[in-house]
Amino acid sequence: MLQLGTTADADNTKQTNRLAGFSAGLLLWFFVLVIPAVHTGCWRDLSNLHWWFMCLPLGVLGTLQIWPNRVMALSAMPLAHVPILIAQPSLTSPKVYGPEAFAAITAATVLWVWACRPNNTTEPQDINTRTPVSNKADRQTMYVFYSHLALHVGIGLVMLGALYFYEPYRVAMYQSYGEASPIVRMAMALFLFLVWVILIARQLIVRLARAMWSVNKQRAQWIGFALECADSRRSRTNLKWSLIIASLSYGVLWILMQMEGRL
Amino acid sequence: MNKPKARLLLYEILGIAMVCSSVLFFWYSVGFMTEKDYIAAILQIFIGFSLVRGGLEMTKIALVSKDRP
Repeated sequence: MLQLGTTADADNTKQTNRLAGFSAGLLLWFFVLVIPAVHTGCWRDLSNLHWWFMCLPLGVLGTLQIWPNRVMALSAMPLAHVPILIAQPSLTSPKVYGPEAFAAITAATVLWVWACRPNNTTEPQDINTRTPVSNKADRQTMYVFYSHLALHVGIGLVMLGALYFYEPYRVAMYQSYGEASPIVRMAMALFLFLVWVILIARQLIVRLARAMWSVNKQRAQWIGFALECADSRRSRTNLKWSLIIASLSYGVLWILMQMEGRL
Repeated sequence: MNKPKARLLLYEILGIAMVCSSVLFFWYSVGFMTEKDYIAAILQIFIGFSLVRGGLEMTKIALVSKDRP
């Protein structure tokens, strides 16, 4: 059914609220790059290439104004911040990332994801009756989306937070690696991030991308999820194997710790 | 409370508990890593991941039990 309230695509799935997305993206850019650059004073030493990298997120934001697309927004915006963060390590140094800065950047990221959420569009209407279309199914999908997002982001934040901000681990890290501990910490953070993406967030990212691609696929995903849930034998088998892997891992860990005399 | 409802509640509570407890294992994995104990850290990550999967399957079973007459 044709719906009003959309501009470029008729199924009201790919676009997001431009002003909210732009403002949240700009805020994220300020918190992640501009404020740390001013705080550390490294903006004075930036080369031309560094300035290009610095402005890359702005270029992506500008592109999104011309071609508003949620998949593009959720994937290209974080990646656009990566080159300058790699080229200028002082932007991610412990001098910048105190607990307050971490909380502010987390809040800005949550705000940005919220601005790019799938139903952040003008409310669709039934063209015949001019009444708002019931979006109960969309709301249910959104609850699943938010709960998945909270779980996965929470796990990522716990791992990275433990690595960077938990004092006993920081001390242990310094004792184990000495002067090389900042580089090792960064390598570990990268490793944990990759593990998180490969093992946990991969399915979320794939599901999100598919769900956002079109409304029909989004509903098909939901139906697929319901069918998957209805297959109790499969769920029981998966549960059994998950518990077996967890028990085996725990058993091996316990034996190793016993052998090393750490228990 | 009748038996099916109690079982459904138990499944949901167990599922949520498994997912929440997985966070603890991820936390400890970082601790092992800082002590150069990489095998232990990877095993902890496996335990955490298995608990997340197990918790999700448990909640799925709760959903199935809810819909079943």
